[in-house]
Amino acid sequence: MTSLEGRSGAVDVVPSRDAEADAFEAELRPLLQEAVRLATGMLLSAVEAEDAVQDACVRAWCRRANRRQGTDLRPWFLGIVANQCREVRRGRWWRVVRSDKPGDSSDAHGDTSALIDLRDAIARLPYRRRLVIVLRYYLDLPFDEVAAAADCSIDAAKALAQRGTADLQRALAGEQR
Amino acid sequence: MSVNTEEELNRLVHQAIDSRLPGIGVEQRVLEHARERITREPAPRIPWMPLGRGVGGAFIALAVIALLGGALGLTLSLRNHSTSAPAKTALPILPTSPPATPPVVVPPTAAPSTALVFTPTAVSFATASDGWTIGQVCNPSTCALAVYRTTDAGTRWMPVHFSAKVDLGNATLNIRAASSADVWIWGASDGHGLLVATHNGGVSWQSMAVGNALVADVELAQGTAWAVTTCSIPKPCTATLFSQPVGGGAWSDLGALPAAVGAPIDNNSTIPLAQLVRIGDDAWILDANQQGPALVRSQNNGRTWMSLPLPCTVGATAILGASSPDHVMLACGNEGAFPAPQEVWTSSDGGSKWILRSREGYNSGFSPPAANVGSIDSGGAPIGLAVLSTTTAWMANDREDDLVTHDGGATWIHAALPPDSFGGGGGAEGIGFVDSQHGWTFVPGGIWTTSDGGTTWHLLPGITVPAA
Repeated sequence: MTSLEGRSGAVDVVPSRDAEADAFEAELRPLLQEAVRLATGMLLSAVEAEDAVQDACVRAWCRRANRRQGTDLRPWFLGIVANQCREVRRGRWWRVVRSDKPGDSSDAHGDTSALIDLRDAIARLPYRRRLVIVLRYYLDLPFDEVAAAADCSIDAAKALAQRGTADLQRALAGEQR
Repeated sequence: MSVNTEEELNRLVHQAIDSRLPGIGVEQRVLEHARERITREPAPRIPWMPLGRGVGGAFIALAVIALLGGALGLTLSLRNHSTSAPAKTALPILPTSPPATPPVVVPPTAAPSTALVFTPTAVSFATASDGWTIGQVCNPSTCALAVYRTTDAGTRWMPVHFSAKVDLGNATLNIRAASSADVWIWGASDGHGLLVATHNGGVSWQSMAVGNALVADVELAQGTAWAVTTCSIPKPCTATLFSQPVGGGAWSDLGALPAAVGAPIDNNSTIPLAQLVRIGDDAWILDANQQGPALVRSQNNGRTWMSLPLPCTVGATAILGASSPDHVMLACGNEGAFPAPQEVWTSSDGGSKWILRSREGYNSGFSPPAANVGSIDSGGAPIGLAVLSTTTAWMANDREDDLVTHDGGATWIHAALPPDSFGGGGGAEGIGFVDSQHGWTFVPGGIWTTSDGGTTWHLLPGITVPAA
């Protein structure tokens, strides 16, 4: 759908807001599954992950002009999702941390204690290490894409992954003691 | 469990996180809700890139070069304030000296391209002119904690030396100002509690050891600052009330919180949830925990407490405000949905009996459905409440505009604030009033103040950090 705007005798074809939103949605849709996985890995809560991705979609729309023409939407959007997760983790003062349902407990999914320990260890990782660990080992991205989404160099992404892995190993060894 | 290979780590990480994934249909829900919010967003009034592509591109290239240079400068200058390392023990806060000649940051109307911008995460004004804010300054690779104060209603902001080690990715911090000299900063960082105060305008800071506890709220009344602590499941402790004279001095232990509001935070979270409200000798503590919310009140300066009923719908979060010992307002919201179902209740006896003033969004999807009452017209959930009188109250909303009522909570109208920063953006972050005329509200993009009771709001000039 387009609208025509006359200006000084010339006629420009300007996409309507609806058409622009449709196009943006179509471009975003294939990335949502990955975005949800990233948010879940970062927040370890289905409800918060869904909220974070929804917020990230709105932010991406508001900031669509910031995206450079012709660049891949994926790392740009995953970066927005990651930032959104960071803000949720920081937490608005009165925002309640919601569980998926009342009475939801850590082992309600039938996970072994080892997996619960690993999840706790991931949750305790500093933000950037957690981000790189999730991008690399949960989204299975190559390091160049990890670096693009985490807004750092490939070397930095590798270093963060190494430190994050070491942190997890230390944490899990501690749990065993 | 040990993780010795990349393949093993990959497999275990998948197993650990997969069970937390949202159910089927999440992508469609996300898109539908986002589309609904986008539809409500007003069209941008100013094009983001007003210049022609060629000139604009050159401008942006220069700005990026300048920003990167600036970022390097900031990184070097803030090296001693590094916030990237997580705290391993209770946060060490040492008395510090301010820079020999503290530079005065005079916020320009437009940030120069070489400056980095401060993003507020909490704001508190003690008077119409004396205010403090805590937040962060980020360059492309790191963020640093920063504290500023103003004594001229936000025209000029002065940096305050503050050396707490805080993991900004895992921190919730808040600030309360009693004057230009007396300020408290509290919260949680990486699972550790933080409670520090200055009584000399930030020249030095004193820390209060809270052990395993997290600090949930600080409120001022009767010449004292009270701090409420809370506990997390991984680190058991006793939730306690502490008191300090506003002008400084030793903290005293006022005792453990009533059991109803002293339970550890659910869901293994380390984000403190308890809210403290004080009016004279009266005090309320609201535990906004969605799985076991509770409200207690003291009428004798914290010596004894009684439980009060909470009328919010099950599963809601809530926030409390009071304009007198008798008049109390409770705003409840079920976060997650957009628009979020909301209710506003008031009490004229300090919270023993509640009257529903307004309700929206519970008429479908809830069993039994509840009819709408009054008018809220808010998509977000309440995160801040400033109750000025029995008729007037202001509400800050997550993902939404600030709202105001002038009829005791029955009808709420949207504040005269830019919708593309509030409801059309990420929503408000907080709101407060020092009296009926002077108030503030903020989003990550800026702080607005009013001096006419909210009829008009003015964006304060942004706080910028010179890059070099």
